[in-house]
Amino acid sequence: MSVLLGITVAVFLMLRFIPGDPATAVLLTMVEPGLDSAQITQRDIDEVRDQMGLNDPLPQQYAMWLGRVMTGNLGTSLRSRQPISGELAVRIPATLKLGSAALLVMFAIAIPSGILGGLYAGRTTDHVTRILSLIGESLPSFFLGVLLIYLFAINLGWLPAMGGRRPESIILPAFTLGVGIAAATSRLLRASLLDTLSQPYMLMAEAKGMKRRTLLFRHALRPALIPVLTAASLVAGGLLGGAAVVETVFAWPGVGRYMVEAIAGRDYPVIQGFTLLMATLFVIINFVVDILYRLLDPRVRVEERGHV
Amino acid sequence: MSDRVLHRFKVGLRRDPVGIVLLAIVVAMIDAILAAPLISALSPVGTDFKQVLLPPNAVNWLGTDDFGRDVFTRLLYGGRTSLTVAGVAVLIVMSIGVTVGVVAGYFGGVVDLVLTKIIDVLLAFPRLVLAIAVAALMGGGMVPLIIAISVVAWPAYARIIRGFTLQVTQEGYVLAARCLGTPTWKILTRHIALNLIGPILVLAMLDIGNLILAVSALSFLGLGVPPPAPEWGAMLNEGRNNMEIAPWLVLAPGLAIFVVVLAANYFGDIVRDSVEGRPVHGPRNWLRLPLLGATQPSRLAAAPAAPHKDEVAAPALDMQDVCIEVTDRRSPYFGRRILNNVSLRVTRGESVGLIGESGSGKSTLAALSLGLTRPPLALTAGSASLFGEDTAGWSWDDWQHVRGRSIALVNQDPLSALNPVLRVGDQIGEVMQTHLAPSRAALEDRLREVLDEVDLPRRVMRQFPHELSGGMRQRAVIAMAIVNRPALLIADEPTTALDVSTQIRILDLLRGLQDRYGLALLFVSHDLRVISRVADRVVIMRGGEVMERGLTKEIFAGATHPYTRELIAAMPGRRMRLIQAAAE
Repeated sequence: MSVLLGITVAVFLMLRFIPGDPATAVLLTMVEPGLDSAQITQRDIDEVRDQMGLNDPLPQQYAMWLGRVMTGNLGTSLRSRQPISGELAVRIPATLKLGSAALLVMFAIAIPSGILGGLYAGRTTDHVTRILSLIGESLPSFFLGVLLIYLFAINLGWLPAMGGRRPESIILPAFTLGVGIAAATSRLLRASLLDTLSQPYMLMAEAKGMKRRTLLFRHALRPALIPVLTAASLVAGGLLGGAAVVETVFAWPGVGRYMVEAIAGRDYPVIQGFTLLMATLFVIINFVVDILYRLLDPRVRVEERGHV
Repeated sequence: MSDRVLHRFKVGLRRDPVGIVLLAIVVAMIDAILAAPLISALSPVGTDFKQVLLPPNAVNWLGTDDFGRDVFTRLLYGGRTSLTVAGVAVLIVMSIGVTVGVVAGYFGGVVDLVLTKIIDVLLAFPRLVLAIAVAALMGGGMVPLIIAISVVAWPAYARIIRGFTLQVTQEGYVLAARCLGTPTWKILTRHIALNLIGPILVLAMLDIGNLILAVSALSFLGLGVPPPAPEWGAMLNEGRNNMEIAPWLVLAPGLAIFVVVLAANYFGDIVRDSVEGRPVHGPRNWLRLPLLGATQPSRLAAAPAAPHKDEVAAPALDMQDVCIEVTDRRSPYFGRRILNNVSLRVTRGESVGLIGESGSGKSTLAALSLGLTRPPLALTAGSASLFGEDTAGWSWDDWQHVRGRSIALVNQDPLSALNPVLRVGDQIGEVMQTHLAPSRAALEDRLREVLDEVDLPRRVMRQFPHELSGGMRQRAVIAMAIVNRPALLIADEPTTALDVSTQIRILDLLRGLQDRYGLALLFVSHDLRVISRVADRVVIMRGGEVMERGLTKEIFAGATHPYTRELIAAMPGRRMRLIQAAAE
């Protein structure tokens, strides 16, 4: 909770990063193109400062702003003059869709490769998965995205390159986003699986005459997946940050692209609102993961019960 | 620490052709980037509309872009920007991270609290999102780019460095320096910061690939240096529009970023391995076989679940002159003989005690009887038979059918023998399900019955191993072993981890089960009192060889071998009685 409050302070203070006076900056984006700062009078500036509440003491400004944010008011976009929360809200579903599809891609890549790497540690299979995950980790998502567009959309014509109108549009962006975050998960799963495989209870399970499938999926993989959850924060961070880049590459109609457009238009309140939204989402995801972790690992569950 | 890592890094690299190639490419790239004006006479920004979008040729090695600018030249100059930003950012990130981390860790108290809170808040943002926001609000350009990257990256460093500092501060030499009245700044710089150089370099090495990726992503989004100055990410973005006719505009900068990041991550990986160590256990042999393949019919067509009436002659377990050696050449103990010509026989309904000190090979023998001899060990001579069948040619599947059904294991450490995330009832039940495929009702009946037999309350079925006491866990392991009423039970130090009164209850339980089932029992222990309580016959081992064997009573009454006599004399309580006897 205190972290959430800290986030709001940080996001609030962000607008102070703008070089020069925020009021002047806002005015510059509002005036007709072709005019320059010389034509802005001091009276205009004062008027905007007053409107923006910039003349109040900082804590009071923060309290006012926080009050508005709590009621869902993130201010208005300088370009469209529409409420930012509304503009974000219409774009959130597209981003969530992309994020979950990317998550599926990630699991589809990371879990098999992590298992193979762990089972065949030190052998050729392990080296191959390791090299593949290194490549996946090192390919910039925007480069991979552009390459995929070139190959599948332009040359082969199998998939649409841009936008999100058709159902198959999601394939390329989801793959691009998923590949980037798969490497870390795969690496973690490999290490974690190797760890459980060398545990005495695995030898015991073998001595009990368990079948291969039971040994791998029930006895080894179940405990091995728990530590992988701790990487969820990393994965979520990669998803949320990567979304801005990937949505831009594929013109995906989500919040990330909206924010990048806002950068070009110097639409500061939108950038602020987007950052706040993403950070809140990130905190919520981490919180949910924490709960999941407790549910999945019986050892943690009991400790908690003991404390209460 | 850093010396050792550096050394291992060097050794690792020498055996690593891929690493050498990557290193050579990156060194060549950096040299070319540094010497850009010498290599290319063309201007990175000079436009020439007569030469728009030329494909790669003798003059323009990588072609030209839509302004007629030479892509190769722009790549070289763009690399300067990209790598400078990344390099400066790394330096800034490390300085802030170290300063904040050391100060927070060393001073503690309010300073630590405030700094940690700031770190927490910054870490609560997704990294790239915060970097984009900061760079965007500052308007883009080289300096904002560096600031944005640094703001985002330092908290993670500071948190780790703080942890290291907390450790180092507790070290004797720092405490000593404090007591001697050394000025704080001197302690911080000389004693603490110097010790942190190793971990810091490792951290930087692991992260530099990510930093370069972040820099190029931001510049791709238009937050880097303003055009027309070249920068890799921005070049890629500009090239997108003409990708269809001039793919080199995208490929050149994209591959440049990729190769640099790949090299950074590759070396980061090597560094990580040399710090954490990369476990390369040879996989157990069940993993090599097809995992989902159909199970083969058992070689033991009718694995004896209960002793057959006509098989009085065939002992449950019969080992003839077995030798086990370290056969893996990579092992430092290659060639060492663990078991030397050991013969051992356990007939039906008999209880044999195997006694020996640590390292005498008794657990190796127990593993052999279950077919669990694993690399680096292997059976090199002799034969092991179960119920009259030679196990030499058994596949993993043959063993799988026998283990848990005809022969079962109770091993040493009751906590580590149970899977921590599975319920105790499921772990007992699966043994029965796998081998006998009982009906649900039959399974539950037998589960209740077996829990009664080992004297466990029924609630443990729904519990996890850590919720049970040590004695209860050992009972659960015994329940797992006897649920299918095996003919042979191997108990490898089953009571070592328990207190004395629990030990006695477990021993009586085993003895009772043996009487009830006519179970053959091989009981491995270093504790003679324990053995004397359960075993009909004893075998004494030392250094992989059998020293003496005989009926328990006879051995305890009058051992012939000096080692056995020593062992018996060393029993607590015994010595006293012997001394008393001598005195009388």
